[in-house]
Amino acid sequence: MDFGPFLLLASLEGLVQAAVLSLTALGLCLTFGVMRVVNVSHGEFYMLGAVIAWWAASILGPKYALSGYLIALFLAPCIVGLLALASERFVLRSLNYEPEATIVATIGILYIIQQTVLMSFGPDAKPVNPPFYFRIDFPWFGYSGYKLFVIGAAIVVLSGTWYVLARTRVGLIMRATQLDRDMAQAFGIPIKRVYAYVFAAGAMYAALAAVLIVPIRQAHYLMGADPLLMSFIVVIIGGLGSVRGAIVAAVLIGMSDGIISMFFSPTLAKMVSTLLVALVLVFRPQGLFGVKTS
Amino acid sequence: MFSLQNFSAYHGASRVVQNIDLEVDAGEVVCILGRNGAGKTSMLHAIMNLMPRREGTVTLCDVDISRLSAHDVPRAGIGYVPQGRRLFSELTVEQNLEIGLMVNQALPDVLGSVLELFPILKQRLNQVSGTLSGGEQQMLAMARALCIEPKLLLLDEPTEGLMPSMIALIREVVQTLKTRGVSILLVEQRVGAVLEVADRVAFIETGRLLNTVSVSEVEKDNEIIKRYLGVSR
Repeated sequence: MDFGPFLLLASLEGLVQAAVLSLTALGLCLTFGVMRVVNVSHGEFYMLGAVIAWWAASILGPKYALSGYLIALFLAPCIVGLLALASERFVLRSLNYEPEATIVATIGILYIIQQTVLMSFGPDAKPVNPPFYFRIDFPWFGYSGYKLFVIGAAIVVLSGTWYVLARTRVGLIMRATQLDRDMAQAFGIPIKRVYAYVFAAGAMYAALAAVLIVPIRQAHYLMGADPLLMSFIVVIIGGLGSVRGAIVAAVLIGMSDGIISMFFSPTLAKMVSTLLVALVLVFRPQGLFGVKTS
Repeated sequence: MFSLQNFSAYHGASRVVQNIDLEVDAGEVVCILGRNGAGKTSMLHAIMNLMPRREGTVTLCDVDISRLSAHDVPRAGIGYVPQGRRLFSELTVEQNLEIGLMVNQALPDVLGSVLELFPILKQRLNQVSGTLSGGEQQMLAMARALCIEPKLLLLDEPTEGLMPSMIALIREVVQTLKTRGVSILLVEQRVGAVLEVADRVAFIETGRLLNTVSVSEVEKDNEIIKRYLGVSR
């Protein structure tokens, strides 16, 4: 294949990566931005989303792949969101959201979820059929219609999130809580309730991203580590707590990851991402869109 | 109207507000004076239930609000203008006011009457609050608190770092609120400014209330200020 078409193919792969990564990183970013909690178990919420998608697909069978997928799209974020609500209520709230303590606690949640899935789901990777098959035919190659659907779905969800954050009362409450927790309370905002919903929403984004990607990647009990690492990279490059930064960085990292993986190797792509984080930490520690604090 | 009985508050293990008894009548302005670190700001913070732990009884309009959680305190009718303004600096003026209006689901005419007190804010509604001048930020902090239609307003050093014309405007607003029956608990460093608006002065030191005297007594006896604050008027 010539360079031009190969670059187009690599860019499309990069966009799929960016779409899923931006959803996963958005969840982590919201949790950190509003609550100042570094959620190390975020990758496990992602993994759980994929496992629920496999479970829904395997119950209904390949004949009803679309129905199974639609059920998973609804059910996975709901179940994972409820689990996150319980984690917030019984773990994070008990620790008064102390940053150091919550890191240790979320590591604990990570292992509990991971090992529970290992015991119940098993160690093998399980494929999930795409809900539909169609190819977009370019003059040089054909491309999966499902992958384009993933990009489109991510754009819709990100646009909806932007609308909620920028234009609605819910967004205003979240931003006020993020900016000054005490003053938010002094103006009637129940921050514990806000924290609970934000933590659940963060986990739901991860689960949704996993349902979108699982027909391409398979479900596996260890699949949470990579998106967690990539999300941290994205959130650090974008600026801790900056939603705009997280989305821009996700597109940047996702595209570079996709393109470098296609032209060279996935290992080199990860090395470049890690190098980017190191450069940002040295030259712009607050990230691309973060606010410098004294 | 508002009272504190045996009121204490803690930062970790240390008690920074100690057994305070204080009353504020409707439409009365009580000023809290004390040296730096005396516990004035901590006391206001504790009234808003923003300290990790507090004890004693807080009553507003004969209702015990001691057990209310922090986000219910403003709903009970206490507005807070903190030291350093603490606006939601990345939000616009309008959004800051909207947050104030959310507390009691206040109607738009409340916003109208608040903006009448601070007309300059009408021209700044779409400006990001962090980019306002110091005086405008102070006006916004007061306007935001007034949006909840408070029965009691806690003002923490509202004239800090402001030019004289702004100080005069804030004094005027305090007088207007007084005539509307809003009670005010004012923390202020400028003794001169205090005497122009306050009805009583409460002196505190190391978190303890030393004495409460009327402004007329302070005006008559120059030694009172010196005795409690170690400075002359």
